[in-house]
Amino acid sequence: MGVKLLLEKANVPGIRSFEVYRREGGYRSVEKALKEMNPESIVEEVKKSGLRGRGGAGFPTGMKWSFIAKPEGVPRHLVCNADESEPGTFKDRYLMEFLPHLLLEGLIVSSFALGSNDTYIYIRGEYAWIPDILEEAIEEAKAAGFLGKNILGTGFDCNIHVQRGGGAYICGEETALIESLEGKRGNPRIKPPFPAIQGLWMRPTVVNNVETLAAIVPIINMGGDEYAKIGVGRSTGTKLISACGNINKPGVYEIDMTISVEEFIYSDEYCGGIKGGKKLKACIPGGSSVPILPANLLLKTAKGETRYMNYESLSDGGFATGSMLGSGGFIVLDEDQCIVKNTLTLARFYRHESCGQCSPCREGTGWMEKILYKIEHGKGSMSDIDLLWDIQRKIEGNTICPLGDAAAWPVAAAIRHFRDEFEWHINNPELSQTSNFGLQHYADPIHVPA
Amino acid sequence: MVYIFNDTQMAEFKRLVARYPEGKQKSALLPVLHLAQESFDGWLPTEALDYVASLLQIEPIEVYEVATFYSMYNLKPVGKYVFEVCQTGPCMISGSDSIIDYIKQVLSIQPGETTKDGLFTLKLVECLGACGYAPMMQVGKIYKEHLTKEKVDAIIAEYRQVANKN
Amino acid sequence: MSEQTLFKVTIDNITVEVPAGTTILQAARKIGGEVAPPAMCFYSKLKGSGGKCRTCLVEVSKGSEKDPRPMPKLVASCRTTVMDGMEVKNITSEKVVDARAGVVEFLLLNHPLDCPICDQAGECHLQDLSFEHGKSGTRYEFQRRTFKKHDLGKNIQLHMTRCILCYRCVFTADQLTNKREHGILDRGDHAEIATHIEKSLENEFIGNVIDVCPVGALTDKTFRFKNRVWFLKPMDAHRDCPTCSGRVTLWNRGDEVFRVTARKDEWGEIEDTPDGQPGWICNTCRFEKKETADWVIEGPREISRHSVIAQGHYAGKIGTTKPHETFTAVNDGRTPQLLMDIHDQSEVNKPSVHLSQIKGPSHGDTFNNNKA
Repeated sequence: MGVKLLLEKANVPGIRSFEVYRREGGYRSVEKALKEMNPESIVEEVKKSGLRGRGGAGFPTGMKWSFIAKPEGVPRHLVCNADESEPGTFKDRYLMEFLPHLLLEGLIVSSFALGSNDTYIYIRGEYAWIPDILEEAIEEAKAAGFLGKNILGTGFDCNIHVQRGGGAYICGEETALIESLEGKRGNPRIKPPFPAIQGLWMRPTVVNNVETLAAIVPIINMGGDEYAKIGVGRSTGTKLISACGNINKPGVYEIDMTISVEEFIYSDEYCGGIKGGKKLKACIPGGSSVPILPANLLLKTAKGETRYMNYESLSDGGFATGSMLGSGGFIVLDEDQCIVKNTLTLARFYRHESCGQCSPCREGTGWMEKILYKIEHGKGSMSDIDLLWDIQRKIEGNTICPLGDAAAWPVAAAIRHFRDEFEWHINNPELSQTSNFGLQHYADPIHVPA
Repeated sequence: MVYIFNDTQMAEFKRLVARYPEGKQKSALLPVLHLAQESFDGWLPTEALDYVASLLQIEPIEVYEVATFYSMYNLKPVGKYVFEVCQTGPCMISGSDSIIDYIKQVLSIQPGETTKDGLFTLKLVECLGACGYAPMMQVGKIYKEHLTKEKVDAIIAEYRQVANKN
Repeated sequence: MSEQTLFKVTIDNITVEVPAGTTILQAARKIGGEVAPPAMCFYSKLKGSGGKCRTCLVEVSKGSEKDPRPMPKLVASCRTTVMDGMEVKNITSEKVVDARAGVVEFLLLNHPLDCPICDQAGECHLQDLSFEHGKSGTRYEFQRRTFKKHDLGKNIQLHMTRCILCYRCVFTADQLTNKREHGILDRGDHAEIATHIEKSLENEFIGNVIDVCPVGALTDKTFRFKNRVWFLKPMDAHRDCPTCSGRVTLWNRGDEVFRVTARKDEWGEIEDTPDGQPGWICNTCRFEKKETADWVIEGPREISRHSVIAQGHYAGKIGTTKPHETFTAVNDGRTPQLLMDIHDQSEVNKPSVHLSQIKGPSHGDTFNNNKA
């Protein structure tokens, strides 16, 4: 069993209630932080911990916190990004649903560190039942003196508000989230200015993912140095992985980032192998935006070394032969899955979720979807593959926000690693409508469970 | 229909607005639109949008812009129960296509349509964050996960029963 | 005057000094010519505009003297401020040229090829952009996007299919009128300019959205289908207007005023009035004062000789020289025989017909009735 820092108590009956959570040792970090530490020393501990943003980008949290501007007389805000919408990712939902007090605890400590007296949780609108859970938890914490005015007699005031979104993936981008929180369309802002200088209502703002904020609790409890000892290299601490697709045990797992991808997929502690005893074809290891990898490159790097479930190892080889840990949305595809169709659904997703503000993303995402639809339905031509490649290349890096990249990468990786499957669709327009490319042409050894 | 909040709804409206600093009441727009949609038959006609604008003291166009941007606000009438079936990657590889086909068949409607009795609307949506429990759909506030044809039958029967009782 | 900090910035190997806070685009415009990146959404007189169309992307090969690292991605020059010692590549960067060609292709993807019937033709920024940076063919083989038609009232014509979503008109309404009535509805590739409810735009300054629109999405209904801009003679004129500065450009043919617009500079933006304020004009000046007698004519407006409006008409400054009679010149002084008198064929061109007096778009019936 690996180390569990976040989900350790997830199975304790009644852990959703304040009483049980507190009895199990909850809210200790609030007492420690507010009574024994000051904002600067908290930021210092977070820096020492090496914690990297768990929303997908992996930016060091302590550094992000140290950027916040502190002009005299201007309120600052912490905003919790609970707009979890990346296909394959459902870890934050699990945390909020089952351990609401863990998030609140992390939020209180972080609010204290950043000087936020009004902290907002922006949760995706579709998670409609979770605000009720969170608001109940907030009331409990308030009644126990951990929220509201003069917390634990330290003079620190903090209120946490929950706001539901209206259904838009783009609001997971921090500046779009801020716009949405201001009651506007979720159009990402043009940076600079960065939120740390001018964010919510033009006030200094930090936006952090749910899991990142929950991880603050063990960091304060055990100290940044101890936290940094878990894991490997710059992948410190534990990471929640939401595993889905054609596996025996889909769900949310907490891993310390030292286990191999192979162990994660095939061990009974985690995914439990491929469903129905089938073979593994491909995997998108970090949420739909990151490059898809064929089985051989997933389990081993191009150099033939074992691939591990951490930031560095998963991105080993760059985009040519590697991928990214991203948000930890681990999507597994078995031998019967069609890469073209999978790529088409993702392209449709990004077209649907583009805010329409900048031209490469607005026009390019729809174009890619149309071409993929054509290929998938047996109407494609060889030049379409090159055209797709050229379109994704012209979107990537040229948009206001990362949604453009997120839309381009899956298409690029699918063509890079599965070009023969695209060609098969084009060369066999009728056959491809009734049968599947399967694993043919993949000469590389594909893992077969013993 | 009159588009005005009753006392309970108005109290909730005031609670929502109170979360934000003075003068930033526009921030409550998204939650207030949810409240309006729940209060007014599950959809938002122009009258409802104008009402929300007047409550928040903003221009109607600011409400129209937002209501049309987000996918959860229905700007056309919908059935009593809206089946929002996810069709994105992870759900697709777990068999959402056959669930969608099955719902089309048993309810005799296409995506975007409502059954003649006004009970069910089928809507195809993108990732709802339940990838590990696929295939799935959202009905109102709740998620229905690990869908099978049998489960779909049971869900439809259950809602029919509830609707008949009322 | 307080002393301003000046930053040195080098764009395409040309160095200029600009005050701190200047954007790369504005610095490049100071150099002028090809060095200035094209801008479809940025409009210096509109706060908050820019960053969206991505045509002005440039490569920053050196961040500043202090931090010489290059920027990892191409940046929108309209929204990136210069740093001291910054080095920028615009047309000297292959990456930029390639990305810009991509952006032009994206912008044209769903744009209709209706230039022959579009009133913006000849002064359309998208036309210029695709001429400079685009390709002659399209790789898009799908049906172009269409929209439900919206009527914006008697003065402004909306062609949503032509819109490139630059948001300029939204900023204009926000900043010039006290109550915005139109905006961007829906999202992604279905986003559109609309009022949601059918509504005519009546605000006294709303006509300026026509001048800021880079394409033919918002055009002047009182000028619709009346004439080609390159057949008209732009004249600076003014009147004593109680609402606005009253400083305009009249677009004449003979003595007829066909169209009134604000005065635009070489970047296609509204010129400032002598007191330094943007010279926005009111609807009365724009839509209702269509008689020469309404105006004090100042003289011909200078038009860049590269503009299509100057082509084939004038040599040098417009109106200062008599148009060069190309036809006689190429015919070696011989007067060609009149092959066909167009007035026999078409009512439209009869000298007695005053096109500008016709209300609304004109078509065959208008002239048949005229005959009676």
